Amino acid sequence: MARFIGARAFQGLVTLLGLVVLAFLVQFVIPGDPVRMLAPRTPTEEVAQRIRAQLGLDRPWWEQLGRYLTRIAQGDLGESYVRRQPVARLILGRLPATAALALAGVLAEILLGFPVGVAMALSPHLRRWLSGLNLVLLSLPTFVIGLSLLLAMGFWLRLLPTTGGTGLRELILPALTLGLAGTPWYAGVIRDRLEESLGSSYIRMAVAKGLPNRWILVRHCFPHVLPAVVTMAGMDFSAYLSGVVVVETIFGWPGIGSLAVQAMQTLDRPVVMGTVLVGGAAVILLNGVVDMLRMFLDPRAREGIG
Amino acid sequence: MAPITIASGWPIEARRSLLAGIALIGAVSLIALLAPWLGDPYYQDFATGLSPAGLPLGPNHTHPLGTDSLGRDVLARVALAGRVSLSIGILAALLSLALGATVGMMAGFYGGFLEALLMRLTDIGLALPTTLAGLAMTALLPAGLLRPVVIITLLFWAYPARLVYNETLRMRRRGFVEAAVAMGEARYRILLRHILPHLKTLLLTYAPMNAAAAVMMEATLSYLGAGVPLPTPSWGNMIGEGQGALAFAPHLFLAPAAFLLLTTLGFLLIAEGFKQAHSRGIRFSWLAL
Amino acid sequence: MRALVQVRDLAVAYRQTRVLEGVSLEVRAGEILAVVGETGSGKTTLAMAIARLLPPEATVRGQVEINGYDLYALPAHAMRSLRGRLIGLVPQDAMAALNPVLPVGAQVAEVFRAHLGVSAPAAWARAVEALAWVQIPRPERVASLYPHQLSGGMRQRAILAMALALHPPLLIADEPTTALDRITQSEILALVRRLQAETGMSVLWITHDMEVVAALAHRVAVLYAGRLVEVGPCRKILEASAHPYTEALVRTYRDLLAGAWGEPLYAIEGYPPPAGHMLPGCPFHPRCPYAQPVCRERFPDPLWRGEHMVACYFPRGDWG
Repeated sequence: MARFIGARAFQGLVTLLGLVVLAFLVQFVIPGDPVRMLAPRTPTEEVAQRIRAQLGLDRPWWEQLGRYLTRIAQGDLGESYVRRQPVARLILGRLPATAALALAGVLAEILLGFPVGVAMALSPHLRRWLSGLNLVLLSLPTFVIGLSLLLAMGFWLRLLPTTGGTGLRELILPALTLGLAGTPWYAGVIRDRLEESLGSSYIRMAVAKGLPNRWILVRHCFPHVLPAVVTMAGMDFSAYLSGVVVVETIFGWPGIGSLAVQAMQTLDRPVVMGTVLVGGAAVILLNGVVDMLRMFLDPRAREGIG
Repeated sequence: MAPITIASGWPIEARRSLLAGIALIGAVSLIALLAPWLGDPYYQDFATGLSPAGLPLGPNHTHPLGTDSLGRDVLARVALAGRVSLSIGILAALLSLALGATVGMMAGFYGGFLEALLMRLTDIGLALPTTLAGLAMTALLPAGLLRPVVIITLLFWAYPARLVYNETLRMRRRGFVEAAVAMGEARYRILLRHILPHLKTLLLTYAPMNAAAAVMMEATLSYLGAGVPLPTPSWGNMIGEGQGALAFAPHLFLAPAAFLLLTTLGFLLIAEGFKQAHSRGIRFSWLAL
Repeated sequence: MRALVQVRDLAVAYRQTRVLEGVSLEVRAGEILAVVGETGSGKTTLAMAIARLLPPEATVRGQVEINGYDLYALPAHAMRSLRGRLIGLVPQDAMAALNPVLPVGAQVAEVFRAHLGVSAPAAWARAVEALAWVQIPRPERVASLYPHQLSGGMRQRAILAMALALHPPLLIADEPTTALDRITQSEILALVRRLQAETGMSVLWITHDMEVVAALAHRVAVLYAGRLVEVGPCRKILEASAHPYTEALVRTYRDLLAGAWGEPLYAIEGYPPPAGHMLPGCPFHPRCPYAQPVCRERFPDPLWRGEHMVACYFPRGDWG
């Protein structure tokens, strides 16, 4: 077990390192000079030189990279060029909003996808309609779902606020957007797993034992579905933690995604790097957690890592 | 007219999906092709193209899909945007699939250092937050119609690479590659003659899905102002323009959104057809007893 | 002896494919009846039809009556309460029949919970008892293990514990020992004989293995290509088989047991028709050394002599 975790952690670190190096190097190719964004007016060449030296931007790229890596190893993500604040604090400040949206979004996906998937597996009649619905949802990019919800619930039915904010009422539409966008994926996987289970020998045995259908469904079939749902939920949650750019933009939700977009527009390198790093780390870490959790849910998988 | 003979051996459901998908894509493409005859997408008609209050017009006789806030004809713009969005989407889908399939096949087939390197790259590609990475790349590349193509290709190659890699690995393990090697066949010939044909179903099913995803990605990038540069219309940047008018002129959002939906739905229906045609027999439930 | 199970003119088809045709059979109270046939003869279909456990797309004609219940006329809820209570099932592949994510104890205990409505701890205690009853060593420990942690023999015993938890009068066992090694197989056979003697239940045992038949059965029914060709007491079938197919089957078995090295083994010539392919007349006629033109025309009516039934125009042995 410990060896398995160690191997996974190492693999994760390598991937993360690769991501950071890649993101760091990419910035050197980005046209535009951060110094010009920083200085209040067009700086003289001398002033610009001084700012560069101060930020270490006059060094060759490998030295900058090395220094950056040493600093993040010490937990320092640097300081925002634009906002003059530590990047870590900026990101942490946005984290609660993003975490709330990520959590609500994943919950919405499960709450919508699970019943749809189960209904599709159990009722051939509903299946036709629901798979049509799923196909339409799959055909809509997230921002179109979001805008449609905004149009329908906000402007036509006037049920929910159309302007941004961080309250619970403001959370409903963005979470629902993520939920609807995820529904077909969840429903499809849940349906497949459930169908596989419903036609299996152990379900025939359960029927032969005279167990009620609902009992069989809940106690025998659902455990077969659960690991897949946990995997998807974990992957989505980690992806959303790195910022849900589009949804945050549409609904004016002040999360990491909108921070990243602003930073990119202002060439605020440390902030861009910080969001990439935090997002990548979230993805890698949570994928590891999900693997553990799945192992816990499936007794067969537990042995293999002993 | 001759009866339609496409996929005549397929189960009826699969055939219906495929034909519906082809019909949708055909209809959207037709409108896109007719763009030059549907009016001038750039003509700003401030005289008759706006309401007396200066607001966009809803659908009417002269403008079937209404006008936008500059008095331009929405139908003409949606049709031209169709040319732009469809060609970018399809081109990017094909390029990313080709790139991904090549990487996946090489990694799965040759193994060793190449496999480790390529698959680690693929892992990084899969870990990229798509939209953010897309925005970052926007800053890197010169603006133009090819920029979204390159970005989407770079964002989309990793997933098919993973799929093709898994499939290739499965074939390598099944042993007939070893058999071919033992027969003295050259490696690249084995790759082309034994592995590639086996990937056909996978690639054929994945291609339309990839096209749908690419069209959606282009729309997302353009919506965020990082895709097709204005004033060239694309469905995404038209939706972006229409967003501010949701309260009083929802047709500016609904018209391009509907075209986008029909296109992606069409591609997904084609993919659905392939999937249904290759799905394993009937499923049953013991709970029905 | 009273008949516990009455099968009357049973026919099963999957769409166009006819798998069973005109099967009439009884299982008597307190007996072990072996159904013998080769792969594709429809023996599993017969077992599952008697348990009303065929997949939904199967069409069933004829009648199955168990303990007075006309199985195919029962509503679903009534059928459910009879499952486990009236019929215990031991399916072919024990590993596949056990839910991989539940401890075996839980899979036994749920029978008590669902049928008797007892509390979870009480059901668990009874599950441990049931596991002990099928001679599982250290049952309280095994109960909390998962199926993949058990050996093949243990899995089969756990399935037996589930099937027999409520002491049903009928046990249907579909080749439960085929996948086991010889020693485990004979242990399970001995166990089933003991349990049968203890409870006085009836057992319908599906197998292709004449050795198992000889070791276990009171009576034997021989199935060939979806038709019942011979039924009789075990000794009669083994020593005075009347149907040419049974005769050949018994001969291959005896050859295997007694044949010396170097002597050619007896084998039936030709192949059985593909599963679901119903020939007109007797299905065995293409391979039968005694076939006459009449065999090709109509399936023969059953001939009875006491306990012994044969469906053949030209029965062997002292019938002729």
